[in-house]
Amino acid sequence: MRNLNLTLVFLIFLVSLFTLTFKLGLIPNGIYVDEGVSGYNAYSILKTGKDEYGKDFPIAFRFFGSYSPPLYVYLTVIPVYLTGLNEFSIRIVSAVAASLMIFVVYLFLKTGGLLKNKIIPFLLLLFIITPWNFFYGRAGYELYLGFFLFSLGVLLCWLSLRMGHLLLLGLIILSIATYASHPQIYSAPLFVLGFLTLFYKKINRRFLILGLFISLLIQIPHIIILNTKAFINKSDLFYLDEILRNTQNFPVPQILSIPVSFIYSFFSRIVTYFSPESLFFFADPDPQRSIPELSVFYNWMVVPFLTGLFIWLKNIKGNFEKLLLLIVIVSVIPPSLTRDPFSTQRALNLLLPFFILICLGLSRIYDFIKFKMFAVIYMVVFGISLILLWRSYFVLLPAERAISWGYGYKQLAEFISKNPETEFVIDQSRLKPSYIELAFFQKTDPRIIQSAVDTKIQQNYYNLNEFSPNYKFANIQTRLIDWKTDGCTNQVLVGDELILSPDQAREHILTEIHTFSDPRGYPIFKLFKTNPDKKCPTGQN
Amino acid sequence: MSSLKNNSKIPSAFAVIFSNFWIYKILDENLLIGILLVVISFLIIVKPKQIYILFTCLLILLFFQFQTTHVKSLTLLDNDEQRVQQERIRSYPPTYVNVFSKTLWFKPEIWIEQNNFIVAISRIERNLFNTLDINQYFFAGFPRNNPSDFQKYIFITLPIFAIGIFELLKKKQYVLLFLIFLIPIITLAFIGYDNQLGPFSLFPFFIIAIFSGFELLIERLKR
Repeated sequence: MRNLNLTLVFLIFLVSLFTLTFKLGLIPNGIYVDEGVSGYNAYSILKTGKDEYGKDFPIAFRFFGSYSPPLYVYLTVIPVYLTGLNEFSIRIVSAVAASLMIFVVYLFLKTGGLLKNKIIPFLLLLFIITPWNFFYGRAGYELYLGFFLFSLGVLLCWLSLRMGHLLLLGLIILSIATYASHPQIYSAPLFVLGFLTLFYKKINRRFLILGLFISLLIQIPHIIILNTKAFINKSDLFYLDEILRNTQNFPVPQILSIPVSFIYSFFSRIVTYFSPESLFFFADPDPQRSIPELSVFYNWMVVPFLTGLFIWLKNIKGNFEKLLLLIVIVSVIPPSLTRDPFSTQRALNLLLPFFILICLGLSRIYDFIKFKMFAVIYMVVFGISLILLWRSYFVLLPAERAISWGYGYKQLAEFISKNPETEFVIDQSRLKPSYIELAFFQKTDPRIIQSAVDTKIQQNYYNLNEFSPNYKFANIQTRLIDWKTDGCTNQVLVGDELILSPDQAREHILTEIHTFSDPRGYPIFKLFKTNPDKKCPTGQN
Repeated sequence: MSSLKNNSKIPSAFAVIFSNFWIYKILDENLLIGILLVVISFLIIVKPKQIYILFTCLLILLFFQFQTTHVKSLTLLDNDEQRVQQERIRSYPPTYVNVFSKTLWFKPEIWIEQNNFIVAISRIERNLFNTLDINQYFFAGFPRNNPSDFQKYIFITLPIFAIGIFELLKKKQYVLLFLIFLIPIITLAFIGYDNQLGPFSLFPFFIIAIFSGFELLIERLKR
């Protein structure tokens, strides 16, 4: 029976791997800048041992000044080496992590003791197609890897209550998770602290001391950059201005107005992460971080979720229930301290406890009906969910979210490559950093990009977080268009419809040479050739 | 709702009913509905077993909710929605299956995008989940900031409300919950709550939940 279960779980893992890698290089149908910068830096590390700024093996990558944890980039070096720099190679690490997550979820469900073994395979299949899992499991940047390592570390800590030696591994993996994605820098230590508080009496002290010691050793690179901007670089996401602005809204003595305002802002965000509207209907307000017409869970999951929530709260004194509570708390605190109303990226850790609650609810529903009936209902609901996912992810997303995912840069990069004699200026006023997309698709030699940046960055790498999207390499310049001078230079100006409007074209005597449109036909980039002879006949250029 | 005796319930019931912003807004804009809400809430707290009277009052309340709400069609599409629908239809790839020598063509774009039943379901879902948004009741819709939202309850009463719901479920008050929560929520899912006063047919539910939470806290404090 045990072997049968393991075989089944392994088969579900293969299904997950297939599903998550299906058309992985084609959908999403562009490269988001965060994917591009991770992939290109992996390429740069592979080719030169340095990142795009020429820094040897960084502890935190200075992506657009964000200092991202490095693990995803270093792991992406392997697929980039094997298959080259492309859309598939930069996303495969996430897809593999998301597939391995099946084993983690399986062990949580099995060892939690809250539901019947018979339905676990059904639930694992559901996990694969859960929109939150599916979406980030196919995104080529660090978030899912961080979530996977955090969940694995938590699982091992939980299992260590029965097999003491696993605590050592759990603590080590949680420590490594802090190098995988930003949220884990906060969630992992908070979890360890909470876990030790809740289960101190049940923990093997020998493995605890050894585990903490090794975890601390793993943290040495972080300790090295502790006093730099690279470590504390997300403070601008905190809503201090909002707290100060709202103080006057509360009829309390002045000394209490700031704490009350903070509590209001903080708890309103926490509540958003539990609101059925956010979890089952609305998506992340950022179009790049959501699937059209789908939230992070399917609508129908609201019923098992609320049922599971009630059962969970009713039995909150149980060990597994306490563990779930701890995961929820440590996962919801970091995103609630940032200004976004509902960030699916920063709150990704909530996927695990919330999915377990849904499973708990489904299990209770299973208790009320016979297995055959459950199987029929499950098939119908699973089928509908699958159709919804296909419609939203494979049909609507490539059309409606093409621009958000950087669609058009591949075509633009090819066009620029075919015209090596022409100078191109890509306007940056309304676009995300274009240099990285073009360098990615043109597979520009990393040494060229490294030589295009300010040399001061290399000397003070972890403290210069100000980012400029202005680059000049090969026949490309990415910067703001200077209308006084650019019209007097023989070149091609690239921008969106608002920057290069028909009025601008008329005023600066520009000739339209090409338009790149999204799959629906809406223009993304307009390319205009300058006419210096007509614009500046006196030879101003 | 049994720990307090009926006599001692009256002041607490008044305190809970009138300790929120919503009731004052309702009383200010529509006195009749306001009085009806006070009476229903009071009745449920003090005489929770008078199911038939309660049910009649709730029906009247739902009638008012329907009368004051600008009800939108569940299937009619405005110009912009029609544009989106057409764009979506064009986004679908040709969908077919080859069975031996025959090709079976499918029309998912018609079955999904032009299906009135699916359009209606998605609008019901939208109404339902808008109504279930906890932030609109306790944080005036903050941080999403929908301009039509307004502060209904003081945010510090949210934990008491949550405890109250939990308590109602634990005590298996299913009939009461069916009347004051499920019936209004189903109605609101179909008609929405596009009106000045919000989804006021849920007002008694919030009051009862807060009252139950409050009662439990008092009981624990007494111990």
